[in-house]
Amino acid sequence: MKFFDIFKSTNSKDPNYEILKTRVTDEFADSIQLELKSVAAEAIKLALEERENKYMRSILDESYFLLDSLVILPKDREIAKKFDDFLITHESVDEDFKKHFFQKILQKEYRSQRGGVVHISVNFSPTVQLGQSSLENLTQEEGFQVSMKGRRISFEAQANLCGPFKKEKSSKIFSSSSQVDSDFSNNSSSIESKHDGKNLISNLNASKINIKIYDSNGVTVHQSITPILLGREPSVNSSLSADTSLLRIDSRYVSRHQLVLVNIFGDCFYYVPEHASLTCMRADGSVLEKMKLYKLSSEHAETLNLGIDSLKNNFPSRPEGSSSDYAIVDLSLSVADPHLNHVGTPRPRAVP
Amino acid sequence: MADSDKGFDSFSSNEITYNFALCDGANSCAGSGYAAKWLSAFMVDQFQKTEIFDYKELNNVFFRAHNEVKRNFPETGSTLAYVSALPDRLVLASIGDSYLQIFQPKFWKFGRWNLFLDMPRDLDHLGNPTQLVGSEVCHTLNISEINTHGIYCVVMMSDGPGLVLDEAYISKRLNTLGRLKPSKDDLHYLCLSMAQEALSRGCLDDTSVAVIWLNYTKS
Repeated sequence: MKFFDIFKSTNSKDPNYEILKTRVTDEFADSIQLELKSVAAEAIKLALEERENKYMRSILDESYFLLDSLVILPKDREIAKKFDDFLITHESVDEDFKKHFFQKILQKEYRSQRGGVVHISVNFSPTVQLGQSSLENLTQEEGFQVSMKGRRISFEAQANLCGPFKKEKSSKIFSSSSQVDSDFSNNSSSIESKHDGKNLISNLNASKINIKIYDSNGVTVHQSITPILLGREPSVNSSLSADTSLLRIDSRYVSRHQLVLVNIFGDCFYYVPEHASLTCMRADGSVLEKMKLYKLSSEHAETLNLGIDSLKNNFPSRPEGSSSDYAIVDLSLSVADPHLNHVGTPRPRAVP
Repeated sequence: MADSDKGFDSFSSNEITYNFALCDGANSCAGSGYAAKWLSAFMVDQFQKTEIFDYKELNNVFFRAHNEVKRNFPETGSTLAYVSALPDRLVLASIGDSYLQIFQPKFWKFGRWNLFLDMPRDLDHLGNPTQLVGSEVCHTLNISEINTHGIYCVVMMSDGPGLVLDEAYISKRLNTLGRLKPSKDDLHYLCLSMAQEALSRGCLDDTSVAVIWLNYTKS
């Protein structure tokens, strides 16, 4: 193609070329994205500056805050309606649209000049809240007055932080695609639950787990301490700590690294690693999603059928085959013997 | 500042008389948490702000508390770590297996925070307390008195975190403060992070950490 052909082709009215017009909703998204980024950053910065003044600089250097809540308020009825329609339209196609949309709006961390840092946890999602102002139409005069430099202010944001928390070593287990089971994420009453994934993993305590494996070797029972990796050829890689217990499963349809058990703040969780090609099915028929944490109940055992290929089949059924093909794993928390694990301080008694 | 579980530990302070007490109830006995709570509150409210320290008076108050615990909370027991910050000295008292340590920066504020005084702990060969307030065995209150000058950090811990947080770690954490006056929020953060570190190091017991920052200047 010659240089002048470029101008020729763009200016030509060839029917083969079609200029795609931006849809109204996309245009709206583009227009608000920058403003939302700006108001969110301003609100977080304001909350950080208010909070960091209470702390010494040396403490700010070794700690971070977490964004506890971010409330976004549309400033008038028109914006509120458009924004609401925008979210509803997209959520009808993608249930997690709101989360994905705001993940693009929010940065991973925000910093102040004094050294304060705000981390945004992976699963954080702001709240869009309609206030009194969101229901009122602007008068013609107000439409000009709200903007100091000619820009119309569409949103307002309020941020709340929690912490500070001491910075810990990072872990690779909580990647951007990881999710936390709802049982776990609802536990927001404790300080620990407000940590992001990195800190949760660093605060591991060991749990003793009873593991029963039905495979080509028959039934084998193990009692191991977390972290534990189960699979066809389990080996410790960079994403697992060196003290990980390795348990081999001998069956045809099982991934090399099939299941990982970890302990987070005294609760045991299990998940299928990202690189596992196959997954597992729980007793209730639900299939484990990769990198999603599932809590192991202390009250009852969990039975997992291995060898589920969720990619080939959207609605996989429970495998019907011998355990040499499809292994079964029973997981249960080992009940501590109060006589063996006595941590209570005894009351001294007089010697007769 | 203290971070304590709702179980068996209790921390009380009196900001008028500068008296502080941390008590850890024996968690083999159901009511020890109540005994610890009562004892810590009782100890910090007994003394008025005074320049004169009287060993005999402290002993009398302590054994009165012991008898009250025995009467009101039978079959319980609690440790006691007690600090009274008098205008020119620090009075420390302890009984049981709780930790009471004084740290001070070397070279008159300019050096690193180092352990200055570690109060004795009453332990048998198994690491269990040999005497507790309100128990059958309670005979000697460990008392120390130091003439003060400069800045100090009093660290009070129940035995759970005390066993896993060594002197070097506490010293390192206190170095975060440097020689500046910390705010209440700074101390709260310090206590919380130390308690969380104790839990992550495998502490399964009740976890309480209190840090008191004191500045003595010559008038």
